[in-house]
Formats: sequence, C-alpha cells, structure tokens
Amino acid sequence: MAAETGTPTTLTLKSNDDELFSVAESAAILSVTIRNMVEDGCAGGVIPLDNVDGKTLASVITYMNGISAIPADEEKKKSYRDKFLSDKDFETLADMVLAANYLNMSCLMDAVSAKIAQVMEKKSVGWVRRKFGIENDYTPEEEAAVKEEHKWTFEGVETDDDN
Amino acid sequence: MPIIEKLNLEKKVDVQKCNRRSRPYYFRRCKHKCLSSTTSIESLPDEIVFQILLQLEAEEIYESAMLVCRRWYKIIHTHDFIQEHLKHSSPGLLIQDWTTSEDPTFVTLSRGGKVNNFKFKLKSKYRLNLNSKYWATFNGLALEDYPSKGNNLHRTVFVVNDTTNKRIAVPQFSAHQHACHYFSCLGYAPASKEYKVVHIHSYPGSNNLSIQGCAILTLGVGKSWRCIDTQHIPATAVHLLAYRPLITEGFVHWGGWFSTCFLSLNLESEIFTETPIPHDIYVDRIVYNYYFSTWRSVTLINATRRGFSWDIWEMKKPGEWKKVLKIDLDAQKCKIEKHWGCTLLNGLIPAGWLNYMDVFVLSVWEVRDKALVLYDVRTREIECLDLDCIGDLSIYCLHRNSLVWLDHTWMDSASKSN
Repeated sequence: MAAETGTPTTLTLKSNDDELFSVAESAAILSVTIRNMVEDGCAGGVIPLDNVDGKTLASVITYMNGISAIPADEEKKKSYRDKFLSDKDFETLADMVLAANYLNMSCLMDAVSAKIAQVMEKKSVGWVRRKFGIENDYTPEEEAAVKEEHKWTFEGVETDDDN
Repeated sequence: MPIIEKLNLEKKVDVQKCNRRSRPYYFRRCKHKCLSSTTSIESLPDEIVFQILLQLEAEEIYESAMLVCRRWYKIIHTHDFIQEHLKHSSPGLLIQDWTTSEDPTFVTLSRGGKVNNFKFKLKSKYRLNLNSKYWATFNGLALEDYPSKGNNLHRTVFVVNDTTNKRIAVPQFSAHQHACHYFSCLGYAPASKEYKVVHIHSYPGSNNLSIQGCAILTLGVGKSWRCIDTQHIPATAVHLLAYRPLITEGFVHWGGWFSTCFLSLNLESEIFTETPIPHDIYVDRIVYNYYFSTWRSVTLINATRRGFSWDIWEMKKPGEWKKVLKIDLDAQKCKIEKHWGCTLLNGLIPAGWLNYMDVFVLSVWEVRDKALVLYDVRTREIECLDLDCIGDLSIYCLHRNSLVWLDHTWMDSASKSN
C-alpha cells in the first residue's frame, strides 16, 4: 500500500522491451490492473507489463498524466481525450486498445474503440476491408445470403380475410 | 500463447498483400517492422473487436460491418453483442406529422462517447405507408398499425425493426362487434424478458355506458390475447385509457392534461395502478400536465401557457412522484427570439427527452413546424435546432435504433401456423 507521506508515491513500470518508466501512483492507478497490484502490495519494486511495448507504454503514461491532471470535469476530460487521440495513426491506436484492455482502463478503451470505429463510419464494405487489410472470407453464396438478410422480410403476414 | 503466434502469422500475410496493392501508409510502414510485433485489426482478439463494433450505430453494423468478414458477422450475431449494443444506443425522438405520410425525422445525440455534445444527427429513413404510424417503440422495435381493408374496426398490426429490416404480423385481436379501437402499443417486461402488445378499445356495455377494454398478447407465446380486467379501475382514471400511452421499461402508462390521476399497467403482473398527481400541482384550463417517457421513468411537466419555466417531476415506480428538476429559460428567451427572428408570445411547448433525462426538448409555437429548442440539463445551455419540416401536428415518439429482434423459434412456428 502507498505510504501516507507528504510526497507523492512514484511507481516504476517496465515494458516488454525492458524500458523503464516512472509515473505518479495517483496517475498510474487509472489502470485497474496496476491499482490491484498496488492494493495487493506488489508494487514495491518494478511493475513488469509483459503485454505492452515501450512506445505504447510511453503514450499511455502521457495519457495517464494528462487526464489525471484534469479535475472532475467530464467535458474537459473528453476534449483532452479527443486531442490526445487526434494525431495517432491506426497502428498506434490498435496497440493502444490492446494496452488499454490489458491495463483495464475503461475510459481509454472506450475512447480508442470509438476512434477506430469512427474510421468505418459511412464507408463501404470494400473500403473497410481494404483499410483494415481484412480478407473477404465469405464464399459468394454466403455473401449473397448475408445480403439477403438486408431485404425486408415479411413474416407471418396475415391477409385481411383471416379471422 | 499459440493463438497470438497464429494471429501474427496471418497478419504478416496481410501486410504483404497490402504492400502489393499499395495500401494505406501504416501497412507500408509495417514492412520494416514485420518481424517485431505489428498490430492490425485482424490481430486484435474478439473481445476488442466486440468493443470497437459496439461503437458503431445500428444501421452501420447492419449495412456494412456485418458484411466485412465471417468473424465480424459471428461477433455481431451474439445475444451479448445485441444487448450490449442496445445499452449503448441513445434514446432520441422520432418526430412525425399526423397529417402526412412523410418520413419522420429522428433527433438523437451523437454516439461519440459518454459525454453528450449537441451534435445532432437527423435521419429520415423510416418508410411509412399512408395510414400507418409508429405509436410507440421499445428497444428499437416499433408497432405499425393499419386499419384493415374495408373494416376500420379490425387493425393489422406489425412489429418492425426498421434498422434490420424485419417485420412480423401480430395475431389479430377479435374485438367486440361494436368496439372502438384506441391504441395498440408495445412494451417490455424485463424480468420475464417478454415483449407484450397491449391493445386498448372500448365497447358498449349495459345502459349504453361504454366499457374500456384492455387485451394483452405476449409475443412468442402462442397467438391468443388475454383480456385484462379494467372494472376495478376507478371512474376518475379509467377514461385515461383513451389517451395515447407512454412506455417505460416494464410499464405502460396513461395520463391526461387536466387529470388529477395517472394510470400505470405493470407488464410483469398485468395489474393496473393509479397514482394521484402531486398535491401541490395545480391544474386548470391554462395550467396543465405533460407526460413524457425517458424509458427508465415517466416525467410530469406542469406547464402554464406562455411560461418559460417548468417543474419536472419523475416517477420511477408507480405510486410516487418526486420533484427532480426546475428548468427556467426566461433568461435565454432573447437568444431563441434572435435565432428565429420572432417574438415569443406563446412560450415553448415541452416535447420530450433525449438520452434519458440529459436533454429536454421543446418546440417553439411561433415556428413550430421547423424548430426545436434543446436544453442540456447538465450545462444549462440551450441549442436552437432547425428541422426541414416536422409538420404542424407532429407527434414525438421516443425511439432508439437497435439490432434487437424477436425469438426465432416463435417466428418459425407463427409463420407455419399461418
């Protein structure tokens, strides 16, 4: 547990490529994963984060520091998140969503997911496949069947002559 | 983990493919990093793709995401995804003109996260035939109600999901020979997870006194309507059944402008309850009560004509009204008048809520066919919204788009039995 001293506690996080980062405990505990470690008293030395690389972790820490400096004002937090994510390319976003999931940071998770989803808005199926490098693994018959689901289906329609 | 290795392998194949086709920059850049870990959407685990797809609007999912690949299709077609997506879907107002067959306008808050930011999306994709109306919608399902050909007493009612293009006929209700049809509505009983259609009608009783009738059909359980006893409802409340119903989760409600009583039908127990309106609410010819659903509760707004301030009462469960809010727009009157270049002589007319109780919607009497005022309850700011044309006699219906549809096994048996 954090010692109740006047100075803020600092944690050391280690990425999977062995980079070390110092971060204020108050910012780091935005991650439920880290918070649990702190509460369990396992945060004394270095906290290894095996699923996050140094580049992504640096970015996540920037976010942690930025967002925790904002007082409880959802509007300002949202605009910080928007600004923070605005210059990130897709690869970085994908790394970040994985890191947010691993670190259990729901606010970052939601924001990054929304940012990735935004890319797809109002785009054709072909465009989405190309943009994300997804192979169309539907057989032509399956694809036709899925498209068929889009047509209006009238089920159990009774005629006026029925009772 | 073996799964990750497998996914990494697949991903390398993708990168090569993409390079050949000269795909977006991030794939090209990947080339140099191929041997280290590169992340593409294909390499993300299902639970993360689930989270990403959740952020899309229902129609985006249905018209595009579902067709992308098998994996996405499978993720989307799960009960968990549909229910979780419903929770993310923000309730808005469907505005339709009584007098025309024009498409209604849908006003809702934009998706983009938990904070609402007055980016409004107006849609008008609802294909309505003449004479058909959406009376009430719940969880993205709506009722369409038509008079049957040649016989106005018989109604043909459909349950529809306009987003997923599904429609099913509701078994017909055989009313009393001289019955008069009022409203049909669709509600949801959360404990039993059942959708129910409630049909209100009146028929002549002895001494020519008309009797209000209520019949319920549980969708998914046979084709028979149950008649619900309305005899015990006091005379001060029973007449409310002729009004347009309000739907909240688990209940159908009826209230009147000048009535001192409010009536609720519990969709779980199928029992009616009356709740008197609060004692300190004064009702007469110029002060009256508006009722709006927020899905989760009913709100009562006591309004004076020409007024610019309102007390908002909320009823979460039948039996108790609680004053929750006071809205005063007197100071913002000038802004509204300036926006539409008119003098507000008649005040604003309450019209409903967006996203539960986040935004209070009002229409402007002077320009009522094309104007709404939206009041953000949290920031206390107003926004003036111009609409194409919503008609002079518009009704406002709470709605949200969803991927919800009825249980398949029932539909199969229902269509077979026809």
